[in-house]
Amino acid sequence: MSMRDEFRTPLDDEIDDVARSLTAAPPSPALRSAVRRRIPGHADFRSAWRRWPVSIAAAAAVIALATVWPDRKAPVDSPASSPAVATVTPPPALDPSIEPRPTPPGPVAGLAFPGSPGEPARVRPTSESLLEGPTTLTEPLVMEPLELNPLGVDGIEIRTLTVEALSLEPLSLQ
Amino acid sequence: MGRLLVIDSVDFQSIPTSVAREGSICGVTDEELVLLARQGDTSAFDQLVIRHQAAVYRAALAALRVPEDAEDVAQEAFVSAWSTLGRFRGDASFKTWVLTIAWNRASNRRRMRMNWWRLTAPLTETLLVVASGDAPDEDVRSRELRTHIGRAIETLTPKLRDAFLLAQAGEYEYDEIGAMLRIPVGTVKWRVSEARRKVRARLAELGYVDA
Repeated sequence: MSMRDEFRTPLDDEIDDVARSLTAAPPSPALRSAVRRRIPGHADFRSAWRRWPVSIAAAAAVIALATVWPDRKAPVDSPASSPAVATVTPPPALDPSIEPRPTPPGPVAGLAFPGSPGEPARVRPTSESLLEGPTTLTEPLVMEPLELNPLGVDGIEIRTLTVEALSLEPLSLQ
Repeated sequence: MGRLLVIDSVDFQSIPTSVAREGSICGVTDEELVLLARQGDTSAFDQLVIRHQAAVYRAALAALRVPEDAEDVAQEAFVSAWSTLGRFRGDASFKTWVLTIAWNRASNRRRMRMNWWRLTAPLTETLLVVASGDAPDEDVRSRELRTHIGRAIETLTPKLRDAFLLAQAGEYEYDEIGAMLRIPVGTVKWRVSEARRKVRARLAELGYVDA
């Protein structure tokens, strides 16, 4: 907008042109984006896009941990999660000079695993063990019977504490 | 109501504000965009920013004459407009409203600014650019004249200078300038005329008169 009067001169045009040039600079392209950043709606949208991959990664990590981590309260029979199930590996080559000697049947000591306290381990038979017949893999654990002795106090004796008399002597300088 | 499609490929900054308004996408008016923005449509408000960022920035630049400060004020004005959009009654246009916000903030910043030397330093740089002109063989007398005009504008009182620079920016109607400066339109016209008269008088003292 410029002055529209009948008495405009070239000098007026020059004055207006200089005044116009003082504010002719366009805003920087960053102005609009800066406004977008500072408007809450835009900010939430952007942060949501930043957050959702993190959420997916966190969920995947939880699922992976739940799959890998052993379940302590799972039943022992569960082959997938129970650490108490063991498979028998084939024994090393035996010396043929040693005659097999039958082992008298005895109580089988339970193999206690951290996951099943106090519960004996179950051995899954393999094809070789079935062919060779029943084999006892563990030997009986022989333990001496424990003797429990009660802790007794013989008696209480009161003795007199004797302290020699204290003597106070003046400090003298030689 | 659905969200508006924002066309980023169009360079609105190279288009004057009035043309950009006429060629607005989908022919949506400012009033409609304000209604959408009030409902939380940030794309609609983004369109309002595109339409009026040049006008808001130039108003701040007229008051502060430091591009960085003008940019800050323009940002603050739009963010403030967004947060107080519920209080916009529609008595005036959105452009006038956001211009008033920007001018008030720019005036406050100018009032609080202690280092007044910054007001003159960018102006001197601008004047040097203005004085140099585009053509290398520009008349030396014309360059000197433009430099003297710039200095004469600088010596105007703030009231006259504000009205004069806003009027010459080419972005505002007289009623919009009056709303920004909180003065009647007649006063705006008088200040513009008086500012030009004082500049001419100063130039006459230096020997510049119309042939």
